[in-house]
Amino acid sequence: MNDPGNAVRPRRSPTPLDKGISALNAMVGDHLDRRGNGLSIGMECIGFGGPPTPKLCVLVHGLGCTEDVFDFPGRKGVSYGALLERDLGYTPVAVRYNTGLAIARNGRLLATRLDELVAAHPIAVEEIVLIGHSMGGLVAESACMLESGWAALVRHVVCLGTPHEGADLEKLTRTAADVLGAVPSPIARLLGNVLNLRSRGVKDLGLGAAHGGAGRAAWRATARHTVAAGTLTEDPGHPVSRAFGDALVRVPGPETPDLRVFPGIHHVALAHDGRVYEQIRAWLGGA
Amino acid sequence: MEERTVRRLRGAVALVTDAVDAAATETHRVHEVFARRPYAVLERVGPIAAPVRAVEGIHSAVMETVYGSVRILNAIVGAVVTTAIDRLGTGPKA
Repeated sequence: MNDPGNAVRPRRSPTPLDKGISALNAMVGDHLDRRGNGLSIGMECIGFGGPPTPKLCVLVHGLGCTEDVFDFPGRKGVSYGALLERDLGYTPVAVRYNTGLAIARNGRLLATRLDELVAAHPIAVEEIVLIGHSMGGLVAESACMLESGWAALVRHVVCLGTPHEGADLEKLTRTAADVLGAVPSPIARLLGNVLNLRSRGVKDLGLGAAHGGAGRAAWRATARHTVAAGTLTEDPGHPVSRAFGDALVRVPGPETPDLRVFPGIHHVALAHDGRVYEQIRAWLGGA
Repeated sequence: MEERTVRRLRGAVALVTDAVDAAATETHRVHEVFARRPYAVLERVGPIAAPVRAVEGIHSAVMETVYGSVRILNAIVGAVVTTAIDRLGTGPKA
């Protein structure tokens, strides 16, 4: 049996301070990392404490969140990870990371952590499923594009509210910063500079799947790729839902394969909703 | 004190120090741009151009000193607080 060592730390609920630090990392995490600041979060895998199985389910949170975004509100111990462990026999592992870093960098870090995780897992891993919420979906996809031993074990990547086509709020912020920077006024330039303090991770969200600069790579043939999107209103065709999607991410185009739209479920709720879970379960073959 | 707590406290001090330094630098830059405007107008008046340049030089030197002092004081306070945290961190565990 391999020694799990430091590959996975046991789960404990994040404190309000942990959540504050995650939010801080979202805003200026690249600066914290560059300066070697102790507030920068090092990527770590978090275990749920159940018996190990040959199937791993890796949960990757989004910008400024922690792994508790996958917990169902008011239902202690219920999360996508815990439900998949109960229903389909997956060993859930959550990831906490500095969301202010470039998405591609977090992808490389995730690939390294998963290498360690697979090597340290007490039994041979036969299958890996990655579930990413928002930015977490882009990080998971980025990791899968790398040539790692574990990547061949990936059978499914589920993206929940992931801005593949770029997040509109970030695009708007980038435009505002560019306009302010072009105005010949020291105050406007100052405001532009303040807007440009946002982290590389946030800036990458505006680029979506093209964050690496090379456009979207061909998807791994051995893994299925599914996307869940939410809308603010019960009618996905409503102008509000068309304009704002789930509040932060618009519904991707119909050319997206394996897309499922959840009317009335907003961006954050996509990470902890019973209807979304039933769809994930069906996608993973347990329906 | 836990090692993680010490690391976070040191990080918080470093972040505040960075923020004050960046704010002082940006404010200095904007202040210079605005302060330059009246001198630029007065310098066009031939007879007083030379004394205006001299006064502007003094003004700039005072600004450099004030903003420089803010940055130096900020660095000193940051270093002192970090040292105090390190001492607390290596002290007897509660």
